[in-house]
Amino acid sequence: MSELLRSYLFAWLFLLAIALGSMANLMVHALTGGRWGEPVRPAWLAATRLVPALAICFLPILLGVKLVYPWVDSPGRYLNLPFWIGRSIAWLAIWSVLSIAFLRADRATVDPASGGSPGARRVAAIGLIVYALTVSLAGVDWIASLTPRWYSSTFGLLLGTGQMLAGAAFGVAMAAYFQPVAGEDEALRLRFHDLGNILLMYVLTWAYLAYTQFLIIWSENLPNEIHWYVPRVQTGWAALGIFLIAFHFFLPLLILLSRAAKRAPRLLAAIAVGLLVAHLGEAFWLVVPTFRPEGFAIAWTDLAAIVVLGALGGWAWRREMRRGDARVRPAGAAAHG
Amino acid sequence: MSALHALMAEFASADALLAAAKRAREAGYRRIEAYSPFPIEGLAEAIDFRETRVPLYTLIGGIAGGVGGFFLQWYTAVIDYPVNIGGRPLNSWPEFIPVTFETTVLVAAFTAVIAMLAGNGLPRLRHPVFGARDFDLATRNRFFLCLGADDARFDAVSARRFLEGLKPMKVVEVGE
Repeated sequence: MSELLRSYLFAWLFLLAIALGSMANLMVHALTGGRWGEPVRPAWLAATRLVPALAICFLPILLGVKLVYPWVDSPGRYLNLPFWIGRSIAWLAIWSVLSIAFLRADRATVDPASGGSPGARRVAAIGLIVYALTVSLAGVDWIASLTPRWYSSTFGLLLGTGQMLAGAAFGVAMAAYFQPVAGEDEALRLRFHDLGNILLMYVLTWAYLAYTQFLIIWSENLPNEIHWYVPRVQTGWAALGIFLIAFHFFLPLLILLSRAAKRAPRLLAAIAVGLLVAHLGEAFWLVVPTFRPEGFAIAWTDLAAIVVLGALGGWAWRREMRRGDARVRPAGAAAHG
Repeated sequence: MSALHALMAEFASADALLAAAKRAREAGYRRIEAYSPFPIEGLAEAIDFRETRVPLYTLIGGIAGGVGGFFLQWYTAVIDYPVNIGGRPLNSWPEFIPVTFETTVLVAAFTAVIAMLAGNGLPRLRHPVFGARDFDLATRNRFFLCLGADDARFDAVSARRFLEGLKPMKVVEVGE
């Protein structure tokens, strides 16, 4: 049972990364404006609508917290059951309220290319600050606390950057998939050039933060901190680390340096899908090695959790996409369909 | 006036310059230069501006800088002056990465600037087009198209006739 819950935690965190990352990217776009948002906005809006539902999906972890977290047996002043449950509910409630508030304010947005409506911009500005703070604290509560006494000041930022990367990659992959004319339209190619640069930025930021955390902890070699990396670097898990370096950083970096690659929506979509797979690897890397310190191992529960949650999430997202289509194009105005 | 360097036509708008550049390409001219106060989308393609080799040199410089930077640290720490620091391995490669990154960027940037200067001949105090009448307006509100005299297709009479046919504001000769 505890095995199943741990697998569930990793799968849930991956889906949460896509939904929260989509919401945060939407908020950035509401503040900056720019035509690069046009191809990705529908996918991001649909994913943002799923934030409250995903928050409810945390319930199994909340009920089985004793089977997952090691500190339950020796509670401290910060990590104890009532406080932890209260905080977890608070983070999820805050994100749900943010997503609903943003989507409501965004309905007044006339031309997304010139930024969100004044209301959407206000929610976005506050929302991004709140998101950056809460995702850090949630990362400590849900992931870092799996390894007792482990501490890293970069971890929250790393988690948030990873989520925004996942959201951006998801948006780009879906946008390319739902744009049948992508290869021809020159203006659209320029949009994808911008999106490719955004992916490049996330890849670089993520790698920078992940490496900084590793370098500092590796150099200090202090017992409280290094025991996060011991199972990850000195056992079969190192292979997953190399996979992350290769596919969460090096390969996308090298391809995204090329201007021609960024202007080819199909290739960019392939990179985005690759990044999503790599990010699934990262969610696995953050959660699972702590439970299986002997070495790399995939349990059937991991596959079951990601397949079931992924299918449910994909189905719910597709439904939201269709609803979004109906909202954008009411039945009477389907002239160009 | 000494030897002819080029014939230059002056236009009032970016669209006129872009159209003229395309016509000149179609007419077979190859040594075409265009001058405008701001970047014009599609103009570089219209005058057949090819990708330069600066990015390639920059990449080579970056790789050389990265390999060199890493080697410098590895050689110092492992071969030339090994010091046991807190029992860490001599080849503490994670520690070498930041400096390797810095030398990569440094050498790549230097290579890019030097390759650019070597390729375009800057810094240069004088260029023949500066002698042309009203050419200073290229930084304000005029657009210029230049047909080089070293073009195989170039002939002073027919080139002038061709430029006049594009309805420019005026056509001037640019001396060497």
